[in-house]
Amino acid sequence: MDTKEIILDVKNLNTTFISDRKEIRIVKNVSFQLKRGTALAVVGESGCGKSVTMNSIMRFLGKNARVEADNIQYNALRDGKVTEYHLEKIKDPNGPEMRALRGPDMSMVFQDPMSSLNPVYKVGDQVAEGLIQHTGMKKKEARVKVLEMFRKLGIPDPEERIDNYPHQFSGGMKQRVVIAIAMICNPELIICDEPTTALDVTIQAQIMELLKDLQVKEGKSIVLITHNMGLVAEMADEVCVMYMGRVVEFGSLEDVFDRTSHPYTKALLRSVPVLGLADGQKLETIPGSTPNPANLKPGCEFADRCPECTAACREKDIPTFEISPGHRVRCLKYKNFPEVD
Amino acid sequence: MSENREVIFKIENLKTWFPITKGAFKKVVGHVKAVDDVSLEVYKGETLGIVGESGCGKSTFGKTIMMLEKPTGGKVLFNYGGEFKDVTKFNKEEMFQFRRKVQMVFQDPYSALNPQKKIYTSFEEPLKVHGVKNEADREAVMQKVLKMVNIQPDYLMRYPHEFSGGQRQRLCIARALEVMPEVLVCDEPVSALDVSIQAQVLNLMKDIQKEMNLTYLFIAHDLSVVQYMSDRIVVMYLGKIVEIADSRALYDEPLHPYTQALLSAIPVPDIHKTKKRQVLEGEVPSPIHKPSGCAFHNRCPKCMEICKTVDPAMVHHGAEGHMVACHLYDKEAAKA
Amino acid sequence: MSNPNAAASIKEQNKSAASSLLKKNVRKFLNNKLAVFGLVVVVIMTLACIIGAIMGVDYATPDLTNMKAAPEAGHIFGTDTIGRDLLARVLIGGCYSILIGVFCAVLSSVIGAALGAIAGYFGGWVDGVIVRISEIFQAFPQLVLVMMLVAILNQRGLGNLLFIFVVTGWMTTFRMVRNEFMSLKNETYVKVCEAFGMKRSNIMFKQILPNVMSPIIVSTTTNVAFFILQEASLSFIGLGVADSTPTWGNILNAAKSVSVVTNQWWIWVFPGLAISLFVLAINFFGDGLRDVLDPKQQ
Repeated sequence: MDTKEIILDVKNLNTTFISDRKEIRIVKNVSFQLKRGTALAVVGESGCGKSVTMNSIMRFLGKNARVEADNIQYNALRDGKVTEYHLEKIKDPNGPEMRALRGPDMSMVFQDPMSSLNPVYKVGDQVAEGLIQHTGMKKKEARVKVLEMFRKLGIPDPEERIDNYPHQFSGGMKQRVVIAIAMICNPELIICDEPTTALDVTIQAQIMELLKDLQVKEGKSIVLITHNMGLVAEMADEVCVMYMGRVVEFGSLEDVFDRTSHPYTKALLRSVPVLGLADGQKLETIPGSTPNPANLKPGCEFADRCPECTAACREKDIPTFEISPGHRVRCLKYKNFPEVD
Repeated sequence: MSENREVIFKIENLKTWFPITKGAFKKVVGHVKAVDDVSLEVYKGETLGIVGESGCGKSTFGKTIMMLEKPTGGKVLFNYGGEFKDVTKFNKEEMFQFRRKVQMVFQDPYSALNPQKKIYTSFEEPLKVHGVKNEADREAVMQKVLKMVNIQPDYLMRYPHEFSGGQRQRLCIARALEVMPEVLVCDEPVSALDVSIQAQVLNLMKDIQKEMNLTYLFIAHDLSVVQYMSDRIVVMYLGKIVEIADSRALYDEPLHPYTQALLSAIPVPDIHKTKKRQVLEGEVPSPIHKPSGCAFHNRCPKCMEICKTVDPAMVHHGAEGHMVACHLYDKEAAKA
Repeated sequence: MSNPNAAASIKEQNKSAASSLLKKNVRKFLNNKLAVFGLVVVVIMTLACIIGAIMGVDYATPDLTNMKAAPEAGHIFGTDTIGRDLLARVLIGGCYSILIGVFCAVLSSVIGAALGAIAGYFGGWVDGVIVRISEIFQAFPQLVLVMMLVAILNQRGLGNLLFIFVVTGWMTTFRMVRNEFMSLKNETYVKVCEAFGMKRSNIMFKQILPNVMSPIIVSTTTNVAFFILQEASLSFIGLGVADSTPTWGNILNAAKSVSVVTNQWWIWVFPGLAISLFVLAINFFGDGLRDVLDPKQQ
């Protein structure tokens, strides 16, 4: 496999949470690859494990979580040379190895800009902190860098705003500051966990434009975690659909939107109201609700809500089938296609 | 068609301002004009959607109509069999009776049910308060509303934390229906729900509306949801109505620049619809310091000189019932 | 739902489907060993004291031949400086101490909760006035108040102490309940009740108060311990209840002289032990309750 082309390679990621002496597997056998300079959208409803997957890769989970994987490989490209990091082998999730990667190589933008910033520090200092930590830069030099970053991210009057406190910023501006924090050490991989869910649509449009620019103009690789299919259609090159901790469909944007294959993806696309629906046209609904991850039945997790469910679906875990190059679906409808792991 | 339809709510120049106080003596230094001079009519049996970004006053508007917030000025007239009575002047008893006519569904189904009480108790209390003395009568009502939202009666004996968000919201809708209201004010009823559950609740609400001939005031920030649900849509910006139109007309031919921007900002889950995205500059100004003239002028791509000083009035334009508050359409108004 | 009986009574029909928070909470409580230990100790000690009182043990008659006797068969805990049986005194003293603790804790919680509910729910000037009053009370040193009352009434008695404790003890509960009410009144279910036109008193006490009950219960239990300690220290310096009424603090009062402390250890060890054990047990119990009742953990 070309490590120059692939920036993040995840194989068989499993994350288990332990609570009350009970083990609950939240992420199950998740595998995907992220190509350098592209955007991957991870879509799913709340509780589908999309955030946990990314947090497992970043090793941001608490002590009650156990992360196991065959491979979590991050390939850093520095000055034309590729360095491989095997994140699953790093023992201490908060040790020096992991910390050195967070910021200069991979960084994260969280959902809620209101609570991502520390209210008692000036925003400029919060952005500069990463630089000072990782490069040992002086405060003055860092300030210049921060100003530059603010300008790039479209924060008006950067000289003035840099000394403001978070409460003096609006939601959209705060999210820009959070993105500035993520971007300041010039990472290659940016993971955005529902970056616009807390924002208004017109502000969401601004932030999305900004992220797309970062990807296209600066060649960043972006993972966008979202539940909004509209954002996926606008942002992503590849799409990963998750349900109850499993990747149920993975493929290019065209694969997933034009040749939608998994019943869940289909249902997800058809159950969301779209502007300009004809009068009297009714939305399709997915019956039932997401099952409790603590007591799942064997077989396909979606079986109870699936219109195309058969007896075989409820027997055992469903393997993944590759129905066209790069388009993988976890559904028995496609059992004639080659199985992949 | 609006001519021959019965009006159920007539709202005239409604204002809800919140005072901002400063210092030990609570001196009023300004007002948050959450709802500022809003007038509109709601027809019986329709769904009127109210859409806007956070801080535009749509939720406050809903609460004011329910008299959960005290209006600063204006009238809320409710149709009592042909006679309009001003709700803002109601005494305690009249207000209590009004509560049977208009009910509300709230955004957060997780906190809308008292966590310490069984669902049964939460369902029983409103009926008790409204004078259904007999337990059998109360249970008959409960049976009826639960059937409407497809929830089995034995669920009533459980606690709220045992239900999922979608079930809870259905329970909340059922509870609001217990007093057989004529109008249901829905404040972001699906925005706290998962996408796969939203459609269930929306379709259910449509069915219930048909069955009970309800009037909905559907408040939401998501224009695609509002458009799916509503017959007519009101677009609000900073406490004022900027455009009212039939749902279809608003989509086909948005008039106000803000509506146009709002429509274009919504991401469409279709990779073949390439549309020209019109990204609005800047952010919604604070409702404390509203810009002079048209509140939208500092973000408006089509801003003119007049917009900075003169607040535009609502004018008819285009199809019947299509009204807009924008100086771009002043000329036509003058002609007419 | 085709069942015609279903319309008769949902309540009766579905008793089996009903889930009980209580059962779950009891199970959770029983898992906490320390809390169960606390509860057991509290119950045993209270029962012992009550049984002692019912049996009418003689705690007042001095046995002049047997002053300052060390523990022995006749007096298991020994006797005090004027020859009264210490076991009897500790038992009866326990009755008074526990009574003071429980009575003051419950009454001050009730006052604090009621005022807190009103202040928190209505807000505005009502809130302002009540908060000011509570601040005034908080500024009064308890000791000075006790001395003032003793001076005014010219007597030391149980009533004084109860009155002072309640009057000076309701503020912590008040503040807690007020803050809870301030946040809970914005919960949607409160708005729902308002939308149904329910009475304010109904919303306050029937809707919101049950949600504040658990912290109130927890703080009441810990307050019991606090008031017992408070009484002990006041009695020890001679400002508590009259000498004729034994309380744990009062018994300790006899051990004020250095010679007693060094030579007659049993006079202060047993009442001291009783206080420490009871207070510790109550605090364990209170902590366990907090874990069980804290709604954030459910």
